[in-house]
Order: sequence, then structure tokens, then C-alpha cells
Amino acid sequence: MKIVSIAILGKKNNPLYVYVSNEENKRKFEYIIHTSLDFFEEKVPLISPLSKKSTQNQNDMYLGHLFPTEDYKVYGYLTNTNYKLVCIIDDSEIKEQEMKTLLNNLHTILVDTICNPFYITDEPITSKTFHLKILDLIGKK
Amino acid sequence: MSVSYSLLEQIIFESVHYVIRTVHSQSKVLDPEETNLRVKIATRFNEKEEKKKKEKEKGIEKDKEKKNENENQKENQQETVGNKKKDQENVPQLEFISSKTDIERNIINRLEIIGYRLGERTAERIAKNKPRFQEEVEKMRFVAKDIWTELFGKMVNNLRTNHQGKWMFQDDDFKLIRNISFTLSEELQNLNHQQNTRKNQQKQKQTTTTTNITMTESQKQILQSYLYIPCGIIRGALSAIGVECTVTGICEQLPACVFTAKIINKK
Repeated sequence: MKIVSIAILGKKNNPLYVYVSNEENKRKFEYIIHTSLDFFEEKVPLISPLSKKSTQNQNDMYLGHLFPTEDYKVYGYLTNTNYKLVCIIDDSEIKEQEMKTLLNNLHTILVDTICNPFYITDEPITSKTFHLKILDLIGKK
Repeated sequence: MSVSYSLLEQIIFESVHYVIRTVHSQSKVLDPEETNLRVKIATRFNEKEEKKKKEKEKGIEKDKEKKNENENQKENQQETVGNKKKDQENVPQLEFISSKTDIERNIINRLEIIGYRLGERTAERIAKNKPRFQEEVEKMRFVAKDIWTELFGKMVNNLRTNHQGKWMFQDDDFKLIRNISFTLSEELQNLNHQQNTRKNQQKQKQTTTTTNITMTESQKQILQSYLYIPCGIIRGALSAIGVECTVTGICEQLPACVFTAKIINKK
């Protein structure tokens, strides 16, 4: 299982942080992330009041259409404060629970960064420690 | 958690005390640089308006001058701090009438922003573990319960709405102002004396009961400075959740205060 890309989008859908494992395909993954925004809006009203806030976004069919030769799975996570976390996976073998924990940890790291008094909200995250933490998170998986 | 409260309180108290000291010191003795700036701004305004007048007819000019003089008198009456009267004579013609000076507004802004950032960040941390908010009521309850317990150790005592975008958070024992006591310092006495004399000139009444009222009014003014940070906290927390609003705080009796949030509808 290889995590190909991770992205964090702000409240106004502005990209705050994009990580791509393969620099050559960066444009492609940014495009995928952009298209996943529509799915966030689709999935949100379907959540019942009792369920938790994480949304799971398996865009198999859609990406199957765009990339007939490659397999990508896109997972989304919408926080209570309208931050959107997107994770793109290369392989097709992954458990839901693993993805949930991954995105949860990502959310924790994001909250830590936001609480940094030197961080200005809605600005791209340029912190090196943030980047290192993300790499750690991905490296473990 | 108790350690974090005391730190938070210390930080807030220190910043607010510093600010209040500067505000009162400046209201008594105006900074010479500030007065020079104001005089310069005033002279530029005067020059502009003089040019405008020269371009128009003389009859209209005279009427405008009379109107400006009336506006000046109104400005002087609306100013609540007596010592600023001298400065107003040098700043006769402003395009807007304001009851607070630029310095005060700047400080109020900065205090509010401190609270805003604080509220935003605490909301992020706490909302992480909460289920998604479906309605406005839930969001307000989140602020009233979770944020208040996190920061002040207790929940808001009363949460009311007028169902038209106004929400009122009433705290009967607000932690940040609970231990404030007032002593009559000389500055306050001077303030009250000048307020009394100006009021007497306007109303031509001399009653002994006015001293009590002006005391509490000046107390309220001082207390008002302590309420800007919590207003910012509420505004920040709500904007983190996705509710844009303006928040004002009022304190009638000492430990009890009410924060009113007016939701801004973007339609």
C-alpha cells in the first residue's frame, strides 16, 4: 500500500498543503484533489446526525473513468471546522480502519500546526516540522 | 487543566492591565506626537475643505461654515473623556463623528484579535473530538458549554436567542472579572468631576445623585476593556465552526456579564 499524495484544503477550498510522493505526477494529483472537492459536497448531507464526522470517499468509479490504466483510490476527511483532508492511495488493498487512523493522525497534526501562534489561518503551511511529521506518518504505513 | 487556566488568566490579565494603563495614561496626558499628528491631519482636512469652499459660491460657503460649527459643538458634547476637549479645538472638521479616539479603537481591535485567535485555536482543538454540528443551536451550545468549560472552568449560565440571528451568552460569575474591585483614585475623581461639570452646564441641574451614576459609568467603561478579549474568543470560536458574527459584551453588575453575538447573514 503506497500513499501517493496527501492534501489539506482550507475552508474556502484553498490548498494549504500538498504532498506528492512522485514529483513528476504532481499536476495530475493536484487535478485529482481538485475534482474530489465535488465529492465532499455530495457526501456531506448524507451523513446522519449520529455518525461521526469522518467521511470516506471511494472514488473508484470516477477515477476508473479518468485513468483506465492506473488505480487510484481517493479518501476524504471533512473536519468540523471545514478543513478537508484528501489522501490518494496507489494500491487497492487497504482496510477502512487503517485509513481512518491515518486521517485521524493527520487531523491531529493539522490541529497542532493551527495552534501554532505564528501560523496565520488560511495560509499555506510551510512549517518544516509539519512536513517531517507527515513524512513520519506516511513512512509508518 | 488548572495549571493552564492560571497561565491563561495571567496572560490575559497582564495584557489587559497594560492596555488599560496606557489608555488611562494617554487620556490624562496626551502624547505630544499624537497631538501633533492630529493637528497635522486636522490642518490637512481644513485645507481640503477650504479649497472646496473656494470653488463654490459665497452664500453656500457661509451656510457650510455654520453647519460645521454646529457639528463641532455636537462632537464636543459626545466626547466622554473631558481632557480631550483641548484637542478637539485643534481638530474641528472631521468627516465622521466618533465617540472613541483612534488610540482606543486600535487597542480594542488588538484585544479583540487576541481573543479571536485564542477562540479559533481552542475551537479547533476541542471540535476535533466532537460529532459534526448540524444546526446553529448546536454550534452555539458548543461555544457556551465546551469552550467555556475549557477556558473558564464553567458553562455559560444562560443562552438565549431572539430567533433572528441574535444570541446572548449570559455568565453570572464571569471568571475574568470576578475579582475586580474599584478604588477611587485621583484620576477617576478628576474624570467624574469634569463629567459632572459638563453635564451640569448642559442640563443646568445640580443634584447630588449624579455622582453615583457617573461612578458606575466610569466603572463600566473600565470594565468594558476587560470584555473585549472574551468577545473575541466567542467570535473566533464561532468563525472556526463556520458562523460569522459580531460580538459585544456588557457588564451591568460586577461578576455577571452578557455577550451578544449577532450573526452576519450573507445573502
